[in-house]
Amino acid sequence: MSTKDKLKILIADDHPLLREALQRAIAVEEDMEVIAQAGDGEEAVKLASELSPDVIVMDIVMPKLNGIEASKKIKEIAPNIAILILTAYDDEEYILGLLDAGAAGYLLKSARGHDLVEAIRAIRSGESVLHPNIIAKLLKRAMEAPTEEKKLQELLSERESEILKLVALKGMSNKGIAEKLFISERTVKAHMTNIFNKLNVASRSEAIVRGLKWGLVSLKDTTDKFQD
Amino acid sequence: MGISESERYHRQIPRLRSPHFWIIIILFVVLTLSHYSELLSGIPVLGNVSLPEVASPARDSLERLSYLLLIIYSGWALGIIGGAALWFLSAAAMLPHSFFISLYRRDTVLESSVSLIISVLAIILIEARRQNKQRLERLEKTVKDLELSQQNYEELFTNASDAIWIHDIEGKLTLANKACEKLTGYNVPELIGKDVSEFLASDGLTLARQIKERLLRGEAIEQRYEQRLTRKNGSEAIILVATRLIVSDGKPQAVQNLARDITEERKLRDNLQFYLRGYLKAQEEERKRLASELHDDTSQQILLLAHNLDNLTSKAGSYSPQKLRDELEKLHDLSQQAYQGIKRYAQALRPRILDDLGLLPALEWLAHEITDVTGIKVEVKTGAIPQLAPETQLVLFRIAQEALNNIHRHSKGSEASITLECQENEIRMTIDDNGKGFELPQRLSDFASQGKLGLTGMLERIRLIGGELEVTSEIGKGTKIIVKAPFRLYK
Repeated sequence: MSTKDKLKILIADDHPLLREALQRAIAVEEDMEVIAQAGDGEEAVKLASELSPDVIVMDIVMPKLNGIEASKKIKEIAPNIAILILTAYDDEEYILGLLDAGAAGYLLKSARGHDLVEAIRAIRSGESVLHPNIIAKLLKRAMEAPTEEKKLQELLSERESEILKLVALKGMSNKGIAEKLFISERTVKAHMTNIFNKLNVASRSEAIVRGLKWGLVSLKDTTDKFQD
Repeated sequence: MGISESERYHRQIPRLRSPHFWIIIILFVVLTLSHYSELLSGIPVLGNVSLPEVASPARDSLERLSYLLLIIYSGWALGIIGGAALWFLSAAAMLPHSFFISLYRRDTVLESSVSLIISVLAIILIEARRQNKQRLERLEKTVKDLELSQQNYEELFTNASDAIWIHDIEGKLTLANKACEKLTGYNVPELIGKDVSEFLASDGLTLARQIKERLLRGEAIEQRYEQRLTRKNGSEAIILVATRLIVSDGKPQAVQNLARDITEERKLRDNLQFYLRGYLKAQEEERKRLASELHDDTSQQILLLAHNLDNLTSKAGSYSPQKLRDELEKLHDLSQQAYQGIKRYAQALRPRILDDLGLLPALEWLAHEITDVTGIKVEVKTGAIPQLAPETQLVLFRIAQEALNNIHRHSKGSEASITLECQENEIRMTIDDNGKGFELPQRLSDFASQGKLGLTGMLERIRLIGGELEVTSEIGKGTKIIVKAPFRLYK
């Protein structure tokens, strides 16, 4: 695989030893490479806008600017960069907070190098999925908060809305969707890429979060879901 | 109220400018010209005028009477100095006329002298009257001032925030102010005639006797001393008293007391000490628990890890690749366990979510945790909340944590709710439960002495950031805690 096709990764963590460990885990993979390391949140924002990495692996506790604030800034400047947040805690409330900040996914700090690589790949291929509990919470929030339904209708085609609903409400994989809609997995993937572009996001989780925020589901959808 | 000499002098100056002065001068000149008119008219044609024809004794007498009136007028209008000045001028004008011009010298001299004597008497009379009037006015003013000052003193005495009372040497109350009513619970008429010993317990009575003896020996009690007295309703009040002997004609007549009610302050201080003691104890226990967990749990795991690594280092050469992988896998598991332990303790000390994501996610997390551990259903209700200052977030979080702990430990409630509301310039958090409730003390500051350290802690915490705490509770009707904190935005 040529350097050009490799996934470009930026690592942001204030512990040099941990950064090294993460870099080592990625270095052995052929399809990705670490293009830079940042020691604090401000540096991460700066490097992200200069180097446009594909994925940023970001720690939360960092000097100057914490990982959550840094993520919000980066998503404002470059919404197509996917951010994978490293966290010690995977409590639902915590994860919801990370998703609000624009994270594409999260990885527990205790996870192994192999898990890190898999998580990066899953995000990039648009296959990363959220835990059903998290989706349920997101739904509950979406139902309570006022939404901007029109925005989504203008943006997405009917097919795209249908696919995003299957992703968001049923947690379906590309393969599952392909089977249900009698189309090829490649077509599903193309649709997902379109959805990401139209919603200006970099990952499946972000598409779900934004979709729900913008009124992807109405009360009718949820009752449909429960009838299923 | 006396007028100083210089003031008197300055008051003379305006007299010269007064119209009376000029009227008198003009009248005097005209009168004198008229008095000597025969002399003047004779000057151009001295031989032509026969004196007896012109001089008229009746007109001269009239003029002398006019001098007399003018002197009196001057004395009335310009005071004694003006009167005296005009008296001399008039004497100088009248006497030469009487001696040298008048044809009836004896009569006119007599007449002039009489009018001068009368005018002196009149001026003296006028001045005496004036002085008398001034004295009366001053007296009236003094009386008025005195009345006002007495009124002020009475008001000061009646409405003083300190209790003031006077009792005779035997101890019978003779005078008491309003603050005494508040202090003792009796009204003033009830108090008068009572014996002070009725308010004192045996200790207090002994102290009061000692004080009285010292006063009677002629010692002054300079320092205020503490005394405890029993109120009408039986409760105890703590006061700080200053006592003084009232002496008249060299004999001790009565004892005057001035007292401040320090019951509240003292209770507050006691409560704070009580709370501090409890707080320090709890803190020490918490440290002990944490230390022993770190020693017994985490330290052991890390030691085991080190031990196994050492073991592996010496034996690795003889292991097959598969065996080596298995051994390393075990070590990885061990390090994970140690990590989980440390993470747990750190989270218990201060949940990361509060610092990373703020109050609202932290409260939701807390609610979830409590539900998981205790089964109490906790709902978090909130509108849009702007980002608060970190210390405000921490205080509200700790209060919610303590409140939920209380619900779990004491209330036996099954449901609770945390409501966050943002008002104009304050943030308000309400924690409600459906538990058994409790009987509220009279004052929030009494929580500590009732052993309700949790509530005292909440109170102290919210006071630190300038907020307020409100607790409502009733047996069988649950408890509601409202905390309000001034609104300060995150900078």
